[in-house]
Amino acid sequence: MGKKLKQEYEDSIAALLFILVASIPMAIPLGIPVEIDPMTMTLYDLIEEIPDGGIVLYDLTILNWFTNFQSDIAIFKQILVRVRAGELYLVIMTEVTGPIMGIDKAWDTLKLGDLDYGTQWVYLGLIPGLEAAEAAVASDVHAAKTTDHYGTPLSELPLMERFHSIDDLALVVTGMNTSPDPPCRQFGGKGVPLILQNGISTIPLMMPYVEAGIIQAYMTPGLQTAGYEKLQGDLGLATSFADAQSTTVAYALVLMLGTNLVYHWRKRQK
Amino acid sequence: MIDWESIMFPIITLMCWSILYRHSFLWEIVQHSIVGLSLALILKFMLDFIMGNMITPIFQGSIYPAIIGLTLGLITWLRLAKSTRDFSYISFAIMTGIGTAICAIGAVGPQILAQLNVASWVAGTPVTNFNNFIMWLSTVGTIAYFIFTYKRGGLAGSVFTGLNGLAYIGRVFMMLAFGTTLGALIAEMAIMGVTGYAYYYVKPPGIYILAIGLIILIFDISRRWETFFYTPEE
Repeated sequence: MGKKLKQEYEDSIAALLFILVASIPMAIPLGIPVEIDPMTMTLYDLIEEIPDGGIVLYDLTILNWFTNFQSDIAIFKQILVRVRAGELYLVIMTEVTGPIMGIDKAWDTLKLGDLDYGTQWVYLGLIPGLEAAEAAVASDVHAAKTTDHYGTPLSELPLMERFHSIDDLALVVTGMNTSPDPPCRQFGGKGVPLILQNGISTIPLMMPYVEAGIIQAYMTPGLQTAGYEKLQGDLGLATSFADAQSTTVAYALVLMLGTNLVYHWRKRQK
Repeated sequence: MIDWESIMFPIITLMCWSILYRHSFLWEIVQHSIVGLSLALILKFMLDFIMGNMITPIFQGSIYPAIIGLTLGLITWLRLAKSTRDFSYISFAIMTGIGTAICAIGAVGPQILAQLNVASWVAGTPVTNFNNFIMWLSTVGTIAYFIFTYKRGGLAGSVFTGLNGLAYIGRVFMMLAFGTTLGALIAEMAIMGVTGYAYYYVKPPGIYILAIGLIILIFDISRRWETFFYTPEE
């Protein structure tokens, strides 16, 4: 009998093909149409319909630049259009260390430099404690943290004089890629609309909250965000990834089917 | 000005991906660097937080919240010595208790009452009704699994036999939920992750770095060609 390829290298070939399938549409766009999801419309309308003067709390819990963060940036862009128009005010916080590492890059992308810090927006920085931090901010943000990320006392920031608890907010957005339970428990059902930016795989976990009216809208990375960028007329990285995501999903399906067929074929050969 | 991000990002990603081919020193370097740098950054952020929100307030007169936090934090360090390890459980017990209480209070409305509140069993479409029933059954079944899973036999077992059946249904729902979530998460991370990182390889300087990586890969494959194959036994 002749020589055969060792099975551990089959994984390497599958991975290499995966990278190729993802890279080729990046270099040669296929132009697969991007649809605007009904949930995207709900999210868009929700942000547009916030009454003037409302404060938006954006809670970042993950740094994943190419996936979730692109969705966060797309949501930020829509909110910031209204912040720049003097209609909304933005407070940003994080409960974990990860997002801090990408914040500077995000700020550059969003061009926050032209806003009046302290009046139009505030970056609270890290409030450790995950769900406990969310609960603390929802009940009394000034007790949860005394200074912003840059060390300025909250009492010296005009915007923070108007924000003490969740009752002062017009919208809460949480950017994450895990179970939606913590923000739903601490921010949901309190009379303030809640938007979740969460992973594609968490849609089944979010749906019960959507049905129950706890989550008003959600955004997921990839194709939904690409549709959202199309709706905003501001194409970003998610649009660049749309073709590649479609082809890699097709490849993943072929791989699943192929590996199962090969497995059964080999079993019969034995 | 040199765009170091565009240079370092493809190099580091390529070093990470090298594990897909074989275990090499490139993988070792990047693995240890990322773990070390991440830990260093986390330590820095946490020390900044302690300084800004605990040490500084003490000097400004806001003593009690900071002292409670600092004390609980310092008590956890008692587990570094075998003789004082048991005292560290005080901090953990307090924090776990508070954490559970926060979760429980928050869970009542959104997670329990809202999920049991089905507006109508007949008003919506048949699909909506079916969805509502599935949600209701999975919620009640999962609660039953954690509360009413009794061993067969004995008084409690005979009383709760019916609830054991409901708990079994809850277990099936949990298996379905965990399985689909894990499968979808892995697929998402692989697809979205690879797609994102590939973005850097289709434009300079990433494309040149990829070319160098491919040359090294082809050279190594040709050098080790014979080791990829085996001769099956008759």
